[in-house]
Amino acid sequence: MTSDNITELLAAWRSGDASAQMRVSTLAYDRLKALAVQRFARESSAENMLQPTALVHEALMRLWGADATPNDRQHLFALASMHMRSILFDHARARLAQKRGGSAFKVTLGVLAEGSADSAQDAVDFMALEQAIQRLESEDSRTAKMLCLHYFGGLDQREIAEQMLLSLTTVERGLRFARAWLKDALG
Amino acid sequence: MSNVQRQREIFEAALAALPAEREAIVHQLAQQDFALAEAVLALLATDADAAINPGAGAAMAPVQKMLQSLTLQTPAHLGERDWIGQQIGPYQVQAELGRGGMGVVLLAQRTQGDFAQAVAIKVVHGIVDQQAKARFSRERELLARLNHPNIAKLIDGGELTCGQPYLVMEFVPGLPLCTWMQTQRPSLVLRLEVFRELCSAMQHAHQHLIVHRDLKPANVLIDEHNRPKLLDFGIARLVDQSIGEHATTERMMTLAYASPEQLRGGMATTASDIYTLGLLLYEILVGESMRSEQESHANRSFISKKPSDRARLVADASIRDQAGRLRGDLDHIVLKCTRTEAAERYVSAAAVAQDVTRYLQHRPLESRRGELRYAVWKFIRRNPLSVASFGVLMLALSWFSVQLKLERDRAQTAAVIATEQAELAKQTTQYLVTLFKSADPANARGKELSAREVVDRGFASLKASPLDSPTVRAKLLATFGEIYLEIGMPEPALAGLEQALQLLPVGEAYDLERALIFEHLSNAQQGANQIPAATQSAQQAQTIYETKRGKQSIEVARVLIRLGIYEQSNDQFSQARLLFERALEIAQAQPGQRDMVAEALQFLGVGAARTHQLELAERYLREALTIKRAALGSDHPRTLDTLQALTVVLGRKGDIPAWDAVAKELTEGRKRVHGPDSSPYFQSLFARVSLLSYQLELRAAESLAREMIAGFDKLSAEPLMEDTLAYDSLANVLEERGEVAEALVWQQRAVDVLSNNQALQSKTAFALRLRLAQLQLHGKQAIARQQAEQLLADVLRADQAQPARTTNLDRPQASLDALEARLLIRRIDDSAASPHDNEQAQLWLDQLQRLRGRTSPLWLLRALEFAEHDSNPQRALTNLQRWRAYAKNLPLLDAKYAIAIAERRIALQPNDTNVRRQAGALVAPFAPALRGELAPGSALLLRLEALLKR
Repeated sequence: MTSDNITELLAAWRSGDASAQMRVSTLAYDRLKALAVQRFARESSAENMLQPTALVHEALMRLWGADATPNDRQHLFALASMHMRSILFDHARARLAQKRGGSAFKVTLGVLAEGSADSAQDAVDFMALEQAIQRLESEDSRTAKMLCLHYFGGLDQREIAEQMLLSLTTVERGLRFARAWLKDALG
Repeated sequence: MSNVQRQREIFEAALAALPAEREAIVHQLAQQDFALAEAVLALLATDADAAINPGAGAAMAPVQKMLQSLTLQTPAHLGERDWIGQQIGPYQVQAELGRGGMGVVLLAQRTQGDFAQAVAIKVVHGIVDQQAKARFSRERELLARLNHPNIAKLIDGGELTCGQPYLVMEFVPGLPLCTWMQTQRPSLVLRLEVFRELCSAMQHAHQHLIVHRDLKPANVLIDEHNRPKLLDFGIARLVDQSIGEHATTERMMTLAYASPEQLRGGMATTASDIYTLGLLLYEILVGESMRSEQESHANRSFISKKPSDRARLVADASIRDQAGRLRGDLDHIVLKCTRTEAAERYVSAAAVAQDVTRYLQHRPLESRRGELRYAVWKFIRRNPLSVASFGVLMLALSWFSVQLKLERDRAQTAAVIATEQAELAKQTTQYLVTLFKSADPANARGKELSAREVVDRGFASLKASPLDSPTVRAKLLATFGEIYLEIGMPEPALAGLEQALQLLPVGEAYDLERALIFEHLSNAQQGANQIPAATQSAQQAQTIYETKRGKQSIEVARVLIRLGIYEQSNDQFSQARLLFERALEIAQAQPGQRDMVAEALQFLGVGAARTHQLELAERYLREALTIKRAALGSDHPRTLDTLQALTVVLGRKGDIPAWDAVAKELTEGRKRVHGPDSSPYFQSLFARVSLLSYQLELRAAESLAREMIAGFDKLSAEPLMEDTLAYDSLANVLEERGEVAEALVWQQRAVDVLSNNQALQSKTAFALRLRLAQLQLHGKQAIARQQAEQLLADVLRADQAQPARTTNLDRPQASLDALEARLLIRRIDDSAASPHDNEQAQLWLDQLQRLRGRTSPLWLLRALEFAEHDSNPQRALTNLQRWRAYAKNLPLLDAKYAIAIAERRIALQPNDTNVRRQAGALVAPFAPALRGELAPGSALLLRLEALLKR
């Protein structure tokens, strides 16, 4: 997978090549799946859990469902990062609602937990994380954006720099700030 | 701009600097906002931690993953294209010379035309924004104006097809300055020649109204003929250029070589370049940067700016051996370049070069003219063989004839004064005889006279007796004034000194005596708590010394320290710091004034401690301690004073091992020097009592506190400030042991003593009143609340009464007291608390942490109380686990945290036997110590037993 490939395919798609969308999806899927496994999954096996695969599918569906077509590769992953985040957030909220409702039926997310007490704990923790990110967004949107591109979109520093039109040094320091800030905010 | 954005900007600026520099830079950039600086420092500490262990300390799994993902790979290079072989204009790239923040520098050769010409090409890499383009074209424009043998020439410039701009520069085959020094080992003279040429290059730029702003060793190349070339005018700007872009580019300079005004975020001027030349000269002389902090050096750089001081300590023997040659003139040049006040530096780079030249020729420095001894010494040094010859001697004499006349005039005045001195001595002796006669029991009608009565009698008889010379009378009055001061009676001292001042004859000959009396008067006024008057008197003395002794005289430094102390006593910390720093500068510039240097450092340290800059305070105090130990010896009372200040700082930091060591040394020192029955010795026990209780040796702490109180009682029947602090100390230990009733009695007594002395509004009183209110919590909540509210009102009123020029930096104590009071009220109202209130409390707690530091025992204690009363069990547990990590050196707090954590866990999962077992195991290790140290029936003990029973 090369970066130019995705950008070219997106251009082809915009100019009417319908098959390009499928090929972009395949390329994007591989990368997002790797990210989801690495970042959001615990070793999960339970049957009724939403697997990383499902997370990525849903993210891509929301992506293609929107009106806007991504301009280029970076833009695509930036959009994907937004969707991944909101899906994770929605599931965490749903999981907590079930817990409060005292549901004995265990529906949980592979992406969030491996089951039992820990899954609820993860959902709680994930909500805390989400709230911290929201706080950061309201106070320093640039840093929050960098953080989300990196964490939910899997963009590396160079890609973030290009996407946000910033220098590499700025991105590197910005992410270090984000890390320290988060760590202090959440312990 | 939001608070987080400001934090980020400072954070990023600090990351750009050397680690050792960061704290100073943060404080500079956040100058007006103390809480901001502390927040950024905390973030930087976290960043440093995270670099080593990304997920550590994060209790939550997703957070851990996030933090780990953020542990960043080494940054990828932007625009990572392979330049070699590329054609740029008429040049073909042959190698990459280096990379910088915004560009890459390439070695290229001209391939068109008849001859091969090597050039250096600087290209912006990565995405080129408009700002970078603008900077580049400005560099090109500025460089085009310059034509100097020591500045790399601009040859050409243009844009690549992809729009990236580039500059073609003269290629300098040479070594960076530092490498050159390390590999070529140039002689001192050669190094100074190089420096002189750099000054000349800088002068050339300044003449063309260009400020370099980023001079540093890496920007200086030395060619094979040992000639320097100045590179990189990347962020230079025109002197008169509008400051539109100023904010961005000012931040791009290398902070390690920035001048104070640049660090403060001000405009860089030619004077800033002069400052940096001073830093560069220092590095050229010593081989190490002035600001680099090397732990192995007892004498750290931020304190002594003298190259000769540092050179004695460096590893390089060839530099160490020459340290003596740096003393004097070269020290002077560096110091004059690096004055904090821009106006006090050399006026131009040419003036710096001139003094270096004069040094190389053994001629007197232009800027040290007028120092007679210095000039003669230089003359002899310059003419070692001919000095004996008659002609030269005549020449020398005529040269200095003016000075000699001045000296003679001074000598005649001295003769007059000497006569009076003799008269004074005689008169004084007579008075002393009279005094002792009256003190003789036979003359005192059978009763013994106290020291005070003896002095009173003498003073009265002096007033009554006729004396020929008003001068002698004035001096005797001044002497009595001093005696009264010594025995702690400022009022009669004031009377005596004021009278002395009136009697002293008018005329310049007595000016120095006058200044001295003003100093004593100022001292007495301070003793009588008349700070404005004391300040005025000190300023009178300062004016006289400045005219008679010069602005840089040691007398002026002494008065500046005095003025600083007054500002500090009014909580005007910024103002005080400026005064101490000026005193420090003066003292450092003079030989043999080490203890004045130490004195200034000590007060800087005390100021830093009182503004809760504990790291900085520790560094100042340790440096002062090193100097005092060397100059006065370890057992000198003034050395011990510094040790005492350091003890307080370490205690507040919660640096337990260091605190323990220093407190022991202090106690032993006080015992040796002042004796085991002295007030200083008893005072030194405060730290030991605290330490013992934190170390969970509460019984020992209690008996030591009682010993201290008994000691103070023996020394004075009337309770003084020390006694109240001792009561507080004992109350504290008793509370920890669970003897609440007795604790209340002692705490109440402490507050009562203060209210008898009308000192209830003092800062000490605030602390004691706060603790009283906290103790009331054990029973009478209503009283506690009322006391806390009254306290809060008093704190806020006192804060508002501050003069208008008070800055935020000056009021951390006020905000700290207010925070403590608010938290206490919050805690009392806890049952009725809404979630919103809880968040407010969390905010206060965060602010408190920034002020006190996260390892501070006092903060950890407050945090524990907060978590114990938190209505959100999950947050409480997370917080407790997080904070406990900082309490690991404090067994008492560690135990309390463990108990609180165990209780919270059980509360969260009350039916889980596993959790119960684990909770029991968590607190079991503390059981023997707590059972032995706590009073039976103490609340903490009951909680422990309950946990163990399950």
